[in-house]
Amino acid sequence: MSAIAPIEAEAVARGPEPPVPGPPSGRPGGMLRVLLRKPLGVVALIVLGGIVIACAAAPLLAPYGPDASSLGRELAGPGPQHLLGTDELGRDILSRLLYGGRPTLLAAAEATAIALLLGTLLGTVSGYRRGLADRAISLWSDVLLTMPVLVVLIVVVSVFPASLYPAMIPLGVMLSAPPTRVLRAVTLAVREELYIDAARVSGLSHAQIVLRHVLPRIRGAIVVQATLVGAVAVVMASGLAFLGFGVQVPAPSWGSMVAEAASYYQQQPWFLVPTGGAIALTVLSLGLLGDAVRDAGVEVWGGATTTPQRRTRPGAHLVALNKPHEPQRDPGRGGGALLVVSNLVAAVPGGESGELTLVDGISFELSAGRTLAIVGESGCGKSVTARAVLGAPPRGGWLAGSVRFGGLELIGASRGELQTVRGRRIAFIGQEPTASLDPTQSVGSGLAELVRLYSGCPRAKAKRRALELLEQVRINDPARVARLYPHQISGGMAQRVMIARALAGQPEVLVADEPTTALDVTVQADILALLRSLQLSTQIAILLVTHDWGVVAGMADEVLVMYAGQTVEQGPAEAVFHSPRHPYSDLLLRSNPYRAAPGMRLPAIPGTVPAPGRWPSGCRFAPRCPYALESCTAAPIPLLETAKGHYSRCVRIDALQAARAAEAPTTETTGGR
Amino acid sequence: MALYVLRRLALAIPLLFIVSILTFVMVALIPGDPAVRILGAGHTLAQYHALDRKLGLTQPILSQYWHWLDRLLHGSLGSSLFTQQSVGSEISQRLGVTLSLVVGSTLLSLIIGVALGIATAVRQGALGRVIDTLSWVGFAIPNFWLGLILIELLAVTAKLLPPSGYVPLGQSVGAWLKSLVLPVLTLSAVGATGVAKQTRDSLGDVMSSEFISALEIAGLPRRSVVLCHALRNAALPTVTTVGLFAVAMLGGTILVEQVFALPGLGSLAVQAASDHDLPVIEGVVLTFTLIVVVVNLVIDLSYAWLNPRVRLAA
Repeated sequence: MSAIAPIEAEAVARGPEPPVPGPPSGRPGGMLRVLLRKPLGVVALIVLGGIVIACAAAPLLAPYGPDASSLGRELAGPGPQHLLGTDELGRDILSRLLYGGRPTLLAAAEATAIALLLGTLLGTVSGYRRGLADRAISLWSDVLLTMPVLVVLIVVVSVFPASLYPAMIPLGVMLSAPPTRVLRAVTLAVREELYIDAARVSGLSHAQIVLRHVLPRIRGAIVVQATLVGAVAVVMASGLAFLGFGVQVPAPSWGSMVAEAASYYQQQPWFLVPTGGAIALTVLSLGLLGDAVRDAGVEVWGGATTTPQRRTRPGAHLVALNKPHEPQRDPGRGGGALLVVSNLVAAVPGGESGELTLVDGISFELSAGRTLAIVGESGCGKSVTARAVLGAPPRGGWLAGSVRFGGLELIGASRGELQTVRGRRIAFIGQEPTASLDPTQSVGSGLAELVRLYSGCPRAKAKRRALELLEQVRINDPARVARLYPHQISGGMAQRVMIARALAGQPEVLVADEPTTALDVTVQADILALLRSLQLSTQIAILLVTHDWGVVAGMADEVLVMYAGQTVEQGPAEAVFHSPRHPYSDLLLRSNPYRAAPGMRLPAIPGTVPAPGRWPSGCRFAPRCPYALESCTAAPIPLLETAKGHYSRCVRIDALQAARAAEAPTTETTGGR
Repeated sequence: MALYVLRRLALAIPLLFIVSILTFVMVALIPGDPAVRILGAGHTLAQYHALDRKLGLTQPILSQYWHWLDRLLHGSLGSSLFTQQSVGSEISQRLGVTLSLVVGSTLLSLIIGVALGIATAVRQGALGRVIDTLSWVGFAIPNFWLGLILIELLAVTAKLLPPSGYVPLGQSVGAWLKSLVLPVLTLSAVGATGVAKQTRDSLGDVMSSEFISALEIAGLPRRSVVLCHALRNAALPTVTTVGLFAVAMLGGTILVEQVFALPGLGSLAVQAASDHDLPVIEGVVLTFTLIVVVVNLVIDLSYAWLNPRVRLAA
């Protein structure tokens, strides 16, 4: 039998490339300390240690000899004289369990040692040498995994009927397959690291590199495998003994005691409890110990943690967010707007105060047939704002403020209310078109699914409509493309498909989050041309997130420049292009490669966007701003209307404009649309 | 696709060879002498030599293997040294029991495991941690022990089900089902909890991927996002796990058949091993290996069905 499943399953769960456990300096002490902070791990370690020590010290600890029977006390339940009762011959069960643990645990230890030695050797060689050795070892592991383990063991045990130990050799060999696979994958990952190359260049032999550099790194994985293989070996060793193999009556062993209990369960059901319980407790503590070691390894060595961040209650932060925001002019208030966003705030748990604000009071509005571009560097909160428009908070976080669309408030709306808007009235396309498509669904079937969802039309009609949509986004031969899967189409094609999906619900607003960032330059132009023509024909309103001024120039009616979660400038595209009213917009425009003079150094903005939680208290751009004065950092700067419909969050506009005037000939722009 | 299946099956042939040779060599090492056991006490040397020759045991091991292989290629697994019954018919009589157990517990593990996995992955909470621990509890409880406890509780005390024995499907469907409930439950404990953990883990990973948030933001109801899209993508590692547990449960039948006195292949293997009955052991090992090969083939085929990349590469 292959009771190997749990180990293998572990390997499957972790994927082909498990997180590399640890830097070269990973100290074993550090890992033990982390392990000792895990309650379940500590309990498992204590229970396991207790069982092993108690069995090893059986002659000292056991109240009776293994074969000493008290007459007239057969099959007694637990009591003061026999803590766990007596068996059919009146022998003390506790004493027999302690003595019986020795052959069981020793046999399991033997199989585990063989499996680990072999698994570590083959796994590291396979992962380190690769090539032919790797293929041969993989084939060998495959053969081992197909062997009916228990049947083979029964055959071996019948060769050497007196003892379990000979059978543990083939068991160890067969159990070496899962550690071989897991350790191979871990070694493969470690091998790619630079310091291994360095060791090779410095003339260390392969054996030395593996011993000194690879083995210490995969130590954690070996320990985890040891607990898993050990758990399987205990189950196998006791299973064989249960079947009556490798047992010499009357010497006790855990498996044979369960078999004895089985014969008498009608007279004394209790007999079953301690005998099977000993096996279960040992295996359980091994398994839980393995889990704890793995988790501790992840923590110490900083692999990807899978545990999500603890969520604070949404109520708590909302109180915090309702602190009066600066009294500002609200650029997002007006008559016929389709979408009105005011004072939008997005936050995630984290930081010292328990919440990190990502978007800090953004307001804007959008009317049919118009395009608003949100511009800024990475990490300014543009994408979070874009998703918030569909009522989608950042992962694990929350939203506050208001997003009003057609009389419906989307912030705090129920899932059902959001579903009536998402896709049907506001559609979204993202920056990674290929990753945004279900890899197991063909283009046509995914599109038809959305059409049916939005319009409820029958299957055949949805299929026809899907082809029309593909044609609408200018895909040649829609019938062929509809049959393709995401991995078979290019990024540009995938983005066209995403746009077709967005159009499926005939939405009034399209939110496009850097729709061309991942695409080739020539494809970018095609996609933008497509969006423009769609806007002309459908009067769709577009909210476009980008960091590319060329895209802004080609598409936008209005521009909103974001910095560190805030609006720093907002106004008509033309005005922002020709006379930016914030030093950040000015510098962003200057660093735009389209505007650079040939042969000149492309100006870059010094420094980086401060991370959420590290925003300066005054003007957030001041540390990077060439015009900054002390007054800039004293207090928050309000967003003020500096010309009609043109807002800026800067008190140094005069200085900026003076500087621009001085170099007037070069301030020419690429112009609006 | 047919070509793919044929290629996979062709790959299994060398494997069956290796396994059969290994078994032969190991059984040849068994010190006991079948002829002595058959004749019992008080036989003459002449009788012994005659039987030894008749059983072909005087020949070198290599030619014994050759004869076995030759017979196999002619469609015969030989006959038992003791009962003289044909190994092939003995195995086919018992195959139904073992297959009922394996198929039944695989299906049960799949259904319970996936349902539990979905429930805990979608509602991230304390239940998820319970599943992680429960998967170890399921593994830690030896199935032969769990079987005995279930007999005590459900058959002896509650008298709901028969404590042991097997009723063939042809005889009575209801009785067949009843005779399978306890052994299948026993076998499924490991599988159901293990599959639940795997489903939970891989579904959790898929749920945080880009295309899931794209579907949610496109207004798809949560139910179809999870059941139609996330689950299909999470299915690959889950199916792998189901296959591994199916193989594990095939081995588990040996113990469980013993506990529930079921006349399956496992109890035949135990009997043959104690008797040093080489042809029967060979036959059973070969059958077990063949079942494993078929399980792996089914798993590979479901990969292809679930994942277009595999399907289109095949």
